[in-house]
Amino acid sequence: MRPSIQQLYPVIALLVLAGATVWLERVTRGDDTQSASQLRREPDFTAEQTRLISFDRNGRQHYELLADKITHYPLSSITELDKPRLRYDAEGRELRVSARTGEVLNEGEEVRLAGDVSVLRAAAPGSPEMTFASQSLKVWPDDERAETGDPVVLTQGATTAHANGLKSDNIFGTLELIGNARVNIPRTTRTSP
Amino acid sequence: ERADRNQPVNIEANRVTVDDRNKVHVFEGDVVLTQGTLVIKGAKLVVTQGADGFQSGVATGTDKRLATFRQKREASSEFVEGEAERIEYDSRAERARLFNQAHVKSGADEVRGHYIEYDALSENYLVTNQPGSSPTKATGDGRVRAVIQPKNSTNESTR
Repeated sequence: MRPSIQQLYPVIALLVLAGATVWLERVTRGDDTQSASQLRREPDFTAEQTRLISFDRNGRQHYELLADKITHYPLSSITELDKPRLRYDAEGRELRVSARTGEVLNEGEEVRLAGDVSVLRAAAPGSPEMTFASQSLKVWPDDERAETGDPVVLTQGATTAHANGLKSDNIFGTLELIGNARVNIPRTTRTSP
Repeated sequence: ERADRNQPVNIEANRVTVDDRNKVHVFEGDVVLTQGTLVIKGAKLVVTQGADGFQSGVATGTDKRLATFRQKREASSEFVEGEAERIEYDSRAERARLFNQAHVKSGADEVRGHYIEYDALSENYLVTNQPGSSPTKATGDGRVRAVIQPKNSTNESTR
């Protein structure tokens, strides 16, 4: 019995479908190999007006990162931030960091900030508010280290300090001002309450 | 002079290490501290900050250069100058303590000894040689040397 056209119809439909998928697969795969070289500079995703909140192990908010734009480059695995603004909670003391641009390298192990970098650490009982200003800052968040080779202006309460560079290590809470350091400590009147 | 107490303190150095936890600033390399007419110089200066700002500083020299201290006397154009291996300046009590090879000169008066304490308020200085301390190189036999010029009829009195 010859199969009538009606019976053949589903088989033909299936064949067409299979052919189409094979064709599609070849084309897209082709795209990948073909444009790999383009990926070197092309971002694989961008995001705008972003607000990123990270939580630590026990679910408490660890830091909040705002940025006008985030661009991620897969090959160099660098994430570029436009106008990053970070709010970080360090032992109950709020730390605010902002800069014109930022680069996050190898999954956040190192962050490079550039352009009007400013850091503000909220005052806490017994230790006044601290601010930092410079044109660049390298931060290693995991081991709480920061460093800059650019001139620095630092204030701690009413004391201001200028230097050519800075190294800070939060684990011991030390801060090193390097090169031509000048510190001004105003005398508040002794009768201050 | 007395007005120094309310002046801001300026400190310059090659390097500063700020230890936030225990409020200590360590200045290293050609350190110059100025507060009004008071000037303290040394290779290293450790400053501890009290609640109302500058509290006290310990300046140390190197073996080649002693730490030095200089301040204008009250209502006079003369300066008190001192040098020693270690100078401890307490701004609250307005007192400078000079340790080892201590030497203080004020106008024509001069005092040497192992340890000199200079009280900026009363402008008196106390010179002692701790018992058993090695004789200071300057005085050779470990005794205190003091040269106090007689004051002629001017009413300035230095004890």
